[in-house]
Amino acid sequence: MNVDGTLPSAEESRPVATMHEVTMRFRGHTALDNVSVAFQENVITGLLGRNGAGKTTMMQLMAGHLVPTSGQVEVFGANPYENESVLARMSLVKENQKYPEYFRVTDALSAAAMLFPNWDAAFAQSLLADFDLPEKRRIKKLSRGMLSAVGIVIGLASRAPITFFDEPYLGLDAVARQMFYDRLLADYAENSRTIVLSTHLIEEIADLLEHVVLLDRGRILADAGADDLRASAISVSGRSDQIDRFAAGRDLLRREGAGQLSRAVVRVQSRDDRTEADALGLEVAPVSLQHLVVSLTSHGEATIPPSADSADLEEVSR
Amino acid sequence: MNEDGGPIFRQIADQIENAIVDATLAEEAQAPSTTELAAFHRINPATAAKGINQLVADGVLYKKRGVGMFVASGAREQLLKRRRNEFAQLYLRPLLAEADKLGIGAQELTSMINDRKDPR
Amino acid sequence: MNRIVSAARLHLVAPWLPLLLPWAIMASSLAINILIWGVADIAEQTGGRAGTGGLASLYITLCVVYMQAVSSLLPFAMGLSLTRRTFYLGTSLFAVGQSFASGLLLYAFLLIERGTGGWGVGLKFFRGFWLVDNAVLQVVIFAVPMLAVAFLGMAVGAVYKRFGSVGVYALTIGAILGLGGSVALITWQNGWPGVGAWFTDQSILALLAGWPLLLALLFAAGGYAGLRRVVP
Repeated sequence: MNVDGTLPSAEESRPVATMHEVTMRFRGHTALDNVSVAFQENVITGLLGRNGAGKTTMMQLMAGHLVPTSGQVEVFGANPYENESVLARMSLVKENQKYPEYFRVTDALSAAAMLFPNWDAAFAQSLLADFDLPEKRRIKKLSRGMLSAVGIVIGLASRAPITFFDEPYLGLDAVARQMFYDRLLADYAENSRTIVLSTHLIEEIADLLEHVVLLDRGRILADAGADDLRASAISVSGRSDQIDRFAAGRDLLRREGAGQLSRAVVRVQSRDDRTEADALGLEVAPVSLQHLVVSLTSHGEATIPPSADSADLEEVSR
Repeated sequence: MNEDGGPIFRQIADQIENAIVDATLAEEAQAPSTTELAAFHRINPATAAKGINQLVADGVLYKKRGVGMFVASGAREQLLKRRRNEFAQLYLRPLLAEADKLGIGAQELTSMINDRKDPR
Repeated sequence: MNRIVSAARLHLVAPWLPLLLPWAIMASSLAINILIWGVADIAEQTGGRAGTGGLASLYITLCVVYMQAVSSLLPFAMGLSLTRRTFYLGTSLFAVGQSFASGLLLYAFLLIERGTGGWGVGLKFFRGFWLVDNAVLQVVIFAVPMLAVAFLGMAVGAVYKRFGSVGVYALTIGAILGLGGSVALITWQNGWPGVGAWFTDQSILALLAGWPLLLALLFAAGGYAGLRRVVP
């Protein structure tokens, strides 16, 4: 973002991490299937999708932890695998990061300070205080939430030009999660950074996202601006026959009905679609990002939650 | 921000427009900055900026280089005019549709309106 | 180069395990030996010829430390965006430094042992068949086998990360079979005298520095190859 608050134009924003026709196959399981995607510089992108969709695999490939079965991965214009100059500018915060057995919180931070060229020690300290992390305690002895907080502190304070957060809030309570989002936004607003955030808790982070990449069973289902995605579909409810009429010739993403009355999520192009739905006597409402993602990835299973404040796709605590 | 309220940037733009229309935000006054909006609403600064940029494109706000965004003179008038045009679509149509459902005729509707408008 | 040094310093962040524990174990072995020598008056009994393999405890523990370094420090280092290569080079650098520093320390202990007449009980803990006249060579003789076990540990750690416990078991079985097979072969060929002669023909330096150096390089190469595709 420019100083006077204007956005760089779309042409100015450039891809900083890309995948080109990447397939990742493990023994008997294809995690990513011919995926091509580009993450734009200085944009907060949400990597959404269900468990097993391929989000973690994607991030591991970006960080050079895995090598693709086929295709090219590029970060800062080069293959990240074993590439010192690329990796020094990247940070990957995983949900199950292991720490050496005898390390204390402060040891993990010292190590991070040694290895991240842009490490911000003051920021790290203030984050420690924010999350109430006991510096001298052994990491082994931390609760699940605190363990996640350590990863978050390291990821944020690394000030790495590109930072991947892979569901980093396991075990964090709602207050701590909000703290994470607030600190993330504040840091992003002040210092440009490319951030890719994968999550199940779509509703919580939906407002943080500028761009969304939706993965489903190893394939990209959506790759668009968050607002564009929100505007791409509407929720219509009313008489089932009217719903059918409206859905004819359109992309029906989800339908639930109880006989005479139904509810559906339908893809739309413009205002005219809304007008038509209105004219058919249907109640039209915008869809939240979560609503849309659930509709796109349900594969005919769960029904849409009746309101936006219901549970996320997956339980947070395990 | 309301996740079921449609595109966030649009909600931001609407909020500022509302403030201009009800004169909370005066013409030639400085509009809230992108950073303020983003922090307050806990949204991505780029989304806040998009809302602001939309208003600039509509001529409701203008940019003073290096200082920030200001409400354009005549913005209120412009918004009022646009909203008057939308009034029929946004409010009248649903009102008439509902009145129809309830069997309230034009006559009854008119007297209802007059009753409301009469000072008590 | 900078990052390699940082990777080496990583091992010093929480030094309890990699630096102190092996020495603590050796110290307790030393203490026990001193006790036994004193109580049982072993020096007197054996005419001062009995030695003890207690020093081996240091080397064995260090091997395990390096195994641990790779299996637990590597995933952490990669979580801090270090390449496997830089981690390996840094750990190797640390191993070299640690080995030679240890060599100096062991030499110092050796001098103290000599000076105190075997810790007052005639114990030969730091002295043994590995004794040479030259101080520098002595340090080298202490250090190089340590380097070899360090790289061995790193290689086993790499196998563990790459192939899991199964891989380590397979490696162990393979080594046992290989060793057992060689022993069987030599026995069958009545080659033990020849083997013995070869060993005695080697100078102490070749035996304890030359061959271990070769082993160290072999393990280093093997470890690095195994590490390249490890997923943290």
